[in-house]
Amino acid sequence: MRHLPNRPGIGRRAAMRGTAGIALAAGLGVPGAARAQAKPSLTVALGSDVVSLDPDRIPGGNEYLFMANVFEGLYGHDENGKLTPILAEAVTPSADGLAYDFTLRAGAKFHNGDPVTAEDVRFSWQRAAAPETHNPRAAILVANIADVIVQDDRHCRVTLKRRDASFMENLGEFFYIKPKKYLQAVGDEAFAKQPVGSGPFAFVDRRVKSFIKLRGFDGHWGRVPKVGEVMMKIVPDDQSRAAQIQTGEADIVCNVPPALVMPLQRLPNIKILRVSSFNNIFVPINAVANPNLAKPEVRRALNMAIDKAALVKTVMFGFATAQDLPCNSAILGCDVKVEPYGYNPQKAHEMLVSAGFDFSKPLHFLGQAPGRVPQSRETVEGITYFLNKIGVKTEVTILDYGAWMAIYGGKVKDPQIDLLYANFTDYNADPSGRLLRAIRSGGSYSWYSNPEVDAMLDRMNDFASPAERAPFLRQLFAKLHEEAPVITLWTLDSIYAVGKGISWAPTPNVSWPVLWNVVKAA
Amino acid sequence: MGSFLYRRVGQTLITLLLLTLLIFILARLTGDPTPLIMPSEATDADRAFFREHYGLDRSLPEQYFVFLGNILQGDFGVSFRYREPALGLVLQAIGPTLQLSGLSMLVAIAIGVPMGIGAAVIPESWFATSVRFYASLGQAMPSFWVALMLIVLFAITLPWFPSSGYGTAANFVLPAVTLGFYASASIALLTWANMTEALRSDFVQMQRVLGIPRRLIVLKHALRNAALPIVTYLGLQFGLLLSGAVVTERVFSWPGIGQLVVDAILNRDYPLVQACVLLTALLFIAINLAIDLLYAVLDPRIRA
Repeated sequence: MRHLPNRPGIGRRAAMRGTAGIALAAGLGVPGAARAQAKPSLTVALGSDVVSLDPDRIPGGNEYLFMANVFEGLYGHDENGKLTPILAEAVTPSADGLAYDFTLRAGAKFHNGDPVTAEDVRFSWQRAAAPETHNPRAAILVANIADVIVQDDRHCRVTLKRRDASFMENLGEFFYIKPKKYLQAVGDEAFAKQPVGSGPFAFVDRRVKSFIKLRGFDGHWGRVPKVGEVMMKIVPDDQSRAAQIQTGEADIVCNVPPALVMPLQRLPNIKILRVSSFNNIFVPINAVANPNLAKPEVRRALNMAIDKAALVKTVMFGFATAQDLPCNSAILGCDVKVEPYGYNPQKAHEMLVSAGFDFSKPLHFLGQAPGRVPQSRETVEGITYFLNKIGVKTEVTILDYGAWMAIYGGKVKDPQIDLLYANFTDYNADPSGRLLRAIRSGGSYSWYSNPEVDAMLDRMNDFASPAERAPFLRQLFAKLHEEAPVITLWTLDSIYAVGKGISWAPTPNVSWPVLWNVVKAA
Repeated sequence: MGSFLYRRVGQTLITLLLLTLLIFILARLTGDPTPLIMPSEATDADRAFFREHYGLDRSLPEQYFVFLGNILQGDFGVSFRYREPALGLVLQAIGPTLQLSGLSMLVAIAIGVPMGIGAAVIPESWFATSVRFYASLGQAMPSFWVALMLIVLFAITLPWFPSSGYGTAANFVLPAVTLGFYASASIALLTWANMTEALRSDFVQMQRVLGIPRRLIVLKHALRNAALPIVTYLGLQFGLLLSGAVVTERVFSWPGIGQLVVDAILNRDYPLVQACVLLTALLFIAINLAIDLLYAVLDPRIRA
């Protein structure tokens, strides 16, 4: 006896919600719904659930596994991570970088059949930037928009309050286009429960901590999915998620821990796919509170003490790429050529001695408990080993994510903490969000302060175009390499296990599955 | 019986009031939720709004009395993370938990009670030795390990049941056996001990002398006398299953209250933590109250 494919809850509440969703979809005339039924269904096992389905209330990066499949911006990124037109066909920036003329794509539609118009762009900006929306990410992009001037259905001009060289790069993740008519008809709360976007997949149903159901949108302007219904199952336990691919209950398993890759690889009919991600692992150094760590040469010496290649091989099982800068080299400016710190424990020790480092005082190292980032505990243990090897004493505390975050992201930084295990995911190739938060004085995650670096960061986006900004960013990253505010480690690979009959090229440099290009043999 | 009932209900209400204070304080001891709930891109104004919106900027006594006043009106607040009423989220999760706990109890009773009876009736036998071995195994093996072994055996090697998930009858099998296995071990031992004592009692000896059939003595008279502590234990065990199935729920991706409360605690989602704990406690208390009443029905001495 083989069990039937797993089905989600069919309780009264879920059934009512499902019925309401279907009725709503039917009433709004979802195009292509019938055709999508004929395509093969897809089951994806995810490690964690999303919190919000409303693109103006995104609390964390996990939400993008939903947003990236259901919503779209004017521009976004293709499957190679390259900036590409999405809901816009073209853009003409003004010479001063303060205005952008967008031509919307002909034939772009929302899931309810309404066309995507310039009025929707204006409405989307107004909603995302309105104080009453309390969009926690408004400051990144939409708060800087002065106006969206509708010229006709397909043309609009976006004007900015001040120049922002990150504007185009951020459009795909921080300015999603919502359907004005639908949203005004149903209201904010109903929209958050039954969102309608224009992406390759339409939302169908969800049960918190259990599943999210999507349906391939055949009316999409170009990226029409080759699968019909998509069941995203929430399977938080790593072993259970791995079991899903072994039993055939899931077609794709996301966030496969590196330690489980080898046993899965040995099994027939299971493929492991790996792509680079922007999820960067590093160790912030509390240079503000600890005078022992104030000198750049001390921080560079700590970088030299760590054999990153060995840790990538042994701790990360090879599923990471060592970095000499605190980011993936695909991040704008992070491709600057710098002299690698290299692994040189002897030189590191000598540098510490000549800098007057006090070896008698142990460094308090705060780690993150397992469960959130692969091999977090083991990474801390590995770093501790290498630091101890050059005579630096450490006291390690491992805390659960919540307690760790309260310290790492706390408004007032704990002066007792000297080193922290940290991970940071960029949502696109623009570095400004990361640097302002993780490096600038007063940034949520910053344990470093340097007025010279702050001044550079403050003018980081004050360029008319990304091309004009590029040399400045390289200069900035070179400065950061010299200053060494963190021990740089590596960027993680995104690892997926896919079953028999699945053909898929996961999008690199994102930490969420983009599913429109999945092909499943019928 | 009436005064017994009033006394127990009164004690229950005092317990609940103390519990509201305890859970309120414990939730806040976990730390400030702002860095966890608000993304790092949020401005200081956004963070201030969050604290003000959820009343976190008020004094703790004020927050407590607002919380108490609201729950008296059935309002458990809005989850910080999900921006949905906490009560709705808990009610959605409590159904699967009750289903799983109920089924696990049935599994535990179906296995544990006959084993305990059998071992008491034929104590010096291979069966009694097997029961002892089973009980030791059941209590010694951690539930996550049992769960993973069941998945390996009955979902991967022998593809009989789904490895995880919720929604079909087949989904219940492995988690219910996992939870039921542990509980059945304790129930078997408890039944064995109590049945042994009952079978040695004078009234059972008398019934034997009177020639009452052995089956009737064991299943009707001895079991009824041995049942009181077993029923009490079942009530406690059911309460534990309600609140303690966290690991099993996680391994089997069961959308129950265990996973919900752990995530709520880890994310400092005070309203959700409070709603989960209070409703679970209410259930626990209700079950214990029912057990007490059942006890009173079974044993007239308690009613006095």
